[in-house]
Amino acid sequence: MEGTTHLIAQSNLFTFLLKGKKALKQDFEQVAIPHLSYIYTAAFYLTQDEHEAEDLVQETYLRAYRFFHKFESGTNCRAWLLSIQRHLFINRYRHRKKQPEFVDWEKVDREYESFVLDEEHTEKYNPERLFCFRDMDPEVEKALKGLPEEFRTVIILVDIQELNYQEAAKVMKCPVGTVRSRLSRGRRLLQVALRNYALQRGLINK
Amino acid sequence: MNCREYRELIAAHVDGALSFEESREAQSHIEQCATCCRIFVWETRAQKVIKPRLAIIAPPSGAKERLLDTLEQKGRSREMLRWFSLSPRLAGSFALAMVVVLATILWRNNSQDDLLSVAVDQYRTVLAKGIGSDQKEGQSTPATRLLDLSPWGYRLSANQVKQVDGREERLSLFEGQANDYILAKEIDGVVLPLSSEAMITRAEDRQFVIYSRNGVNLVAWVDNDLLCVLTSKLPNEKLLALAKRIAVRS
Repeated sequence: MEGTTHLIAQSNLFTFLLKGKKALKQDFEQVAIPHLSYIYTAAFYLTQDEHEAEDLVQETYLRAYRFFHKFESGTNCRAWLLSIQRHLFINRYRHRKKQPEFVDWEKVDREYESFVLDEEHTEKYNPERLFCFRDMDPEVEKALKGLPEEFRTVIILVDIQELNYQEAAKVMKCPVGTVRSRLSRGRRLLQVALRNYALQRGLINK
Repeated sequence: MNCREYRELIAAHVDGALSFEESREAQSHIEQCATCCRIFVWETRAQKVIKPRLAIIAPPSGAKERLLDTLEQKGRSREMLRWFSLSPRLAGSFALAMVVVLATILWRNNSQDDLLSVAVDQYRTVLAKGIGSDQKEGQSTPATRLLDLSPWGYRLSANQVKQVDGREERLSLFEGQANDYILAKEIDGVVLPLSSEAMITRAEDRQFVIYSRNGVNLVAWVDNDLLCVLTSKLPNEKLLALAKRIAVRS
């Protein structure tokens, strides 16, 4: 009789656990799912492919759901999801990169200073004019996709996802100083790419 | 701060993400360096134009629904797998422990069903064939240590001590004034038998098991590692009352 009582108690415990899991799922949907567009945007720019982006998003959310009990309520859920995503991206997708991305910084800095510091140029082509051409948006997307991954990532995290520098450093697992440096260089690279687009389209003269 | 150092943190200066001290140093540098000052102004204006163009990209149509479906399906199975993936050894040990516990419960229930039914059968056998050969002529001391029913008007009829499965089992048959018999049994080191067919009641700060089969009734309880069993055709209430009196005395 006591043995039977024990078995009944165990089944009640499982029932309770199941109810707890349902509440956890609802909580997850309320807290994590609203960030879907942001997580997809980051995935899209990281993988540079719509289908891989969706796969990466699904993997990110599955992993987040699995470890949701570790998420500290009240903290930045988007930063947490992006951290998971970056970890997955590094493990699953990054190995597909064929060769290291090399940047000729001397060339980049030369080009950059040529339009930023040239008074005659900047009089005609100030930032408001240089980066606001019609049909510029797809080019901004293309320019961002063209950046080396470490610079692309930091622009995604700070300028698109609006993480602060400390949060971005935590996601990227690097010092805040590295975030600052990569962001400064990344923005510079982006501007050079956009300016080159404008030159190619004949929208501006050299 | 030199120009190279300043250019490495210009993004943070534009975004207002420098500490107070760093901000003071950066401001001091651009007040002294016209080139860096121009770059700072340019970057501030460029960021206001480019940043809004770095738009959030909406997921493809149906992506949210597909994600929720995947979470529903895979999330459930992953929850179970998670136990095993987190610690396969722990999960394996837990599973083994559960099997052992279940087997023990089932075995215990089965074997103690046997203990109670054996006691009932023993009563029938003793009444039909006698108890055994331990009783000496003139002996009035029961083999049982606690279960002496003589204070309640029962006379010792026979007794026996034997070893069963390595444990000492003491039997004493008592006869009442109305030709009712009670077989008192004590077994060392046996826990209270539990059975799906038995009732459990609590009295005198201990549990009493009440069992009946084919007109024979049984009451059992434990007293200091000693299992005490009274078996008789007397009604359960009388046997239980007697058992309680014995328990109180002990």
